[in-house]
Amino acid sequence: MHDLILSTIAGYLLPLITVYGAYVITHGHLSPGGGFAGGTIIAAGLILAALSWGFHHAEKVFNENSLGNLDTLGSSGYVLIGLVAVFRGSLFLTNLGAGFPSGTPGKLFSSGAVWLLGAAVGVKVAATVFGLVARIWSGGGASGEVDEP
Amino acid sequence: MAHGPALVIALPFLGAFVCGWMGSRRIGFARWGAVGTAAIHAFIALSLLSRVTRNGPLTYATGGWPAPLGIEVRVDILGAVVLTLLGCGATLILLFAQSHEPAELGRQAERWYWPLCLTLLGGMSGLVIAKDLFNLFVMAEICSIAACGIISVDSRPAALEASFKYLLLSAVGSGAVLLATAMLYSVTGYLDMDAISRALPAAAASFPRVTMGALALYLVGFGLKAALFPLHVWLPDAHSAAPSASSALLSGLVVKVYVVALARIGYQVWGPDLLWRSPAPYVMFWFSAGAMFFGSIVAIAQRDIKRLLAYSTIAQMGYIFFGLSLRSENAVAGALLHVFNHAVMKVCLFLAAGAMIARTGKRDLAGLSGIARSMPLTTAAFTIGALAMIGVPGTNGFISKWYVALGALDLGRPLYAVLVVASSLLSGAYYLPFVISAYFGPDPGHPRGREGPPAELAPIVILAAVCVLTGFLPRFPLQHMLEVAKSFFALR
Repeated sequence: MHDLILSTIAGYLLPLITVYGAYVITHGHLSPGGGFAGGTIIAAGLILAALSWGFHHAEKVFNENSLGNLDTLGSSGYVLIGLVAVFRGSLFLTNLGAGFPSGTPGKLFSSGAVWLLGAAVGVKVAATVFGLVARIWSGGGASGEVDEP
Repeated sequence: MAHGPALVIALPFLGAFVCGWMGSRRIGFARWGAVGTAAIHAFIALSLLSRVTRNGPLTYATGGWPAPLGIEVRVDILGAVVLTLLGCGATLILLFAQSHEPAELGRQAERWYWPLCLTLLGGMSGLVIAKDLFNLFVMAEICSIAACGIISVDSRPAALEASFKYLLLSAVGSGAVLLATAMLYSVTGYLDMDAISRALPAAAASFPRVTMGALALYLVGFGLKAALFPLHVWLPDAHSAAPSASSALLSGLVVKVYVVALARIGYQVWGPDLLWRSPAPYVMFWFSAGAMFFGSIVAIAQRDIKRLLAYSTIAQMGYIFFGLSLRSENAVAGALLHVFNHAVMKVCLFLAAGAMIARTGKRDLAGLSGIARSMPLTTAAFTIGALAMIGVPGTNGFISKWYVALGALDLGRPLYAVLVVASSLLSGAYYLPFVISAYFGPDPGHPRGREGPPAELAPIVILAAVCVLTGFLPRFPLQHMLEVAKSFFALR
């Protein structure tokens, strides 16, 4: 069902929600929130848009394939950032000790690896949460088959 | 391998992500990626074992922050032995699964299967070496969810029902563990096991009910996940409805890591003195005595080979908890040794049963009679596993049961030793009839000369060989476990 008010408002809200989610993710080391909270916000914006425009529109950009890519990028990115420290001779997930630049404390690009880890978590959470809702919406079972209504 | 403690957790997860990603493109990559990751894990675990036995426990402060500020993992001898068990066990199970699961699961479900197995391996490794109670909870959660996944991955109704039951009950268990962790944190102010262990005597004196409640919740939470009788109700369905390789993973390895977690909390956090001032060991004693008899008696009535093995797991978990609840070094060492031995023999039995089911298409004991003529090696391995379960001298099961009984005698309770022996005889009552009918029963026309492919047969034969080898030369696990038990009782 198409609803003019809903789809128009969703069109205005989607960029705002996404930018706010990105803000929460990237400022995770400075302010409350972080990867998980920001990722959920981005996913919530996408779910709002998909619900009001129809999930088939979302499928064009965020289908199982691209969501899987983002998912893997986020989750293995986290482990790989942790392993960077190991290859530089420090303990797993070591931050400044492993040579990540500290930047100016209080500024956006500071805190070394924490910023990157937050971004990895954000990508992973956004892709997973939206993927779960899309999968439930499409009625897919555990093995991905779609039941026709 | 200074980074081994972090790598045994990080690598299986990384492997799981990459295998999950590649699974939709090249399923072969996911299959062999899973086996390869498990093999690397086994290699790291072995090198950790050799390092830890030479240099003592290895503590690894993640991110370079030492406890109590940061999160540490510690590989002690118990952790290293169980890690080795997990790595080698998972490698063999996944190798078996290569030739087995693609046909059993189908392409779609298989894509999810390999990443889930690796996630489970990572979660189990983290649970075994966690030194932080909250980490312990998180890893237990990862294990539970991944375990539910590998039970229900092929979406058969029986498997879905079993895994939903398991999901709900293990959520109750996780809730109990989380609540207990919160209670301990509120009275001691730490999550690090060593720090809590130091602060606990004072906390127990000022807040006896909170600490007692936390211990009770840990017992129930991990007891539920480890299928301690009467909290075992989910196990028979879950372990018999799952695909064969999953059954072996779950029954052989997953329930064991919760025992290790509970043993750590009881002996390393509470310490023997404080533990035996609480009623927890006595409760565990009666529950486990019930498990040894209930599991065996119900197993006698089973007609399905995988259900029989599942009920046998309940009985054998009874031995482990029985040994842990006796205040004797020998009994605790026997129980920890049985963690290792039962894992080896149960994985062997489940894989052999899985191979038989795959060849004949039959799951009931009567339908598998005379199977020895068409699958001689698999049946021989099954027989060795069954004899080890009964505890026949010359198999590894004998050594661990011997030490549990020895511990009972140390305490001056010969009746307890009689309990162990009587329950062992009961397990003979359900394993032997099947073994006898497999060799001498009528052959209903099984396909002739149909052993599985080498990748399927090799893990079964290797595990059966380990059962016999560690029965005659028990020094490798036994010596370590005696040392662990000694260190448990050295704590105050």
